[in-house]
Amino acid sequence: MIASDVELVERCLAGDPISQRAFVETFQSSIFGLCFRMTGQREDAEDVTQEVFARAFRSLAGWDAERPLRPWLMMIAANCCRTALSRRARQPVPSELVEDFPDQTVAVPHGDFAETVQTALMTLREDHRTCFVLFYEQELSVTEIGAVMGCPEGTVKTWLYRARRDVADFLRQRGYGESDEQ
Amino acid sequence: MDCHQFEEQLNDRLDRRLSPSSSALIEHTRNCPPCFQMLKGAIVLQKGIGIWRSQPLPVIDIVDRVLAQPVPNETDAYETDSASVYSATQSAPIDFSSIDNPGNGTGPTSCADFLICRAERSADENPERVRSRKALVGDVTLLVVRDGKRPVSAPRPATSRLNAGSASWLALFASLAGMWFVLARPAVHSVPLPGKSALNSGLIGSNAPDTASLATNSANNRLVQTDDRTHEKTGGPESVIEDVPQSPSDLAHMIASASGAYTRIAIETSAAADDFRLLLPTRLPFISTNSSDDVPNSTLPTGQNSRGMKQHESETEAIPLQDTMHEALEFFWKAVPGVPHAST
Repeated sequence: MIASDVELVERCLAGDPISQRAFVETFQSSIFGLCFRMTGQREDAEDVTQEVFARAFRSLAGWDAERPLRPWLMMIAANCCRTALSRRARQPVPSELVEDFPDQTVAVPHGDFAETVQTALMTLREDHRTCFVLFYEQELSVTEIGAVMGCPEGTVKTWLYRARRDVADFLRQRGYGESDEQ
Repeated sequence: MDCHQFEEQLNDRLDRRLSPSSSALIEHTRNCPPCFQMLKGAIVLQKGIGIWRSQPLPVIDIVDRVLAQPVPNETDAYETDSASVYSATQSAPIDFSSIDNPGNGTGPTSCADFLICRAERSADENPERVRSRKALVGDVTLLVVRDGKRPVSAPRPATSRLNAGSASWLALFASLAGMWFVLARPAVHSVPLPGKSALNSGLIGSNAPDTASLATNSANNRLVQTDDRTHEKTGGPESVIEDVPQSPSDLAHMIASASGAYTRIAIETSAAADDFRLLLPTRLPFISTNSSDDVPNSTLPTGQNSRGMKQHESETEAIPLQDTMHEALEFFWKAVPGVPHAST
């Protein structure tokens, strides 16, 4: 627990606008980072980030001060991302997006490596992706991810394993690492 | 090292954010092409992650955008995606320290509204490993723990003791199969209730007694809590104080007439069943079978705003609200054996 977190939350609950601003400023980057990695789109990520803060402020009184604030916010963010993604999944995929999706038989240049990893992430199951992003992008520990996602550490490790395996397969299918022979 | 050990060690290193290429692993791959491919994939993945992470994120500044929207305060938190909130506020079991120090912790709000919500456990969640949870849904704080003491069969009353047409019923909670309810904490308490006392957080815990009820009344700024376990010890209540509800309608009336005094109702339940659903009844005492978000202003008690309940968009079976309310009331009251009493 960070004492300043408690103080910040208390001031926010008291309705102090400066503290509310500080709250958003403090966490907006990391929350947006998670949302951006999860949704893959800036506009969606901004909307979800805004929703995260709205929910956070709404639920701030229920935050357990004995627990760190950031994972709690990440938990809300992960849930909001989940909601946004499920909402998006119910919408038809625009044809141009389908056309943009690279053919699996085409090797992607290394300059697009990061983009390919992000594309691979978007093919993952949502909870696997959440695990992956929380672990690698947010650098949360397995224990913290378990708390965020409400599941045991063993489950987190399993999901991480599967996420890594699927991303690695995705990369291999696109030619990454194929030139290196034993 | 065999291939199984190789994979275990590789994953262990990756879980610890170590480089996958240790000498031991490399040594094994010299004579094992499948593991060599696996190691190579891990190395490529690690490189990819490194590049992916190094990509700068778009710079954003949404502070003004966030603050420009109405920031819901504690009396204005109606629109709630309950499932998300539910899973977003998982917490450890709450201690009881604020019983003796009511100024500790978060406290009740000043609104008597309730939401209808539904929260469902993820299909991937291991029911044996569920930890305590607390959901803040509007002005209802719901604590769910898995530390159950009772079998998970929710009795369904054969007959209704409730008047469906009455506008003064309070439904505290609805139970579906596989759930049981516990309210509050042992012993009888009547403690000062500051504006922001730790009503719930001080009263609810995973080792709560079988049943009890709690309510607050702003008229005398007292928190009243009853517990049937006290009855077991004493053989019966020694006295009855006015604030303790004698029936569902009593409690509903107290809440309705308190004009924002009865705030959070904490409920503790065992969630052992796979079919895990929570239902909280809605705004009371103006129960409506209409799921519309709009609640006419004319029906609102003093101090409440005009924003109505928002029923969570669930893909699960919709349960008629009126039925749910009845079940909730019936079950809740049945779970509290006898008439709750309290000694002063």
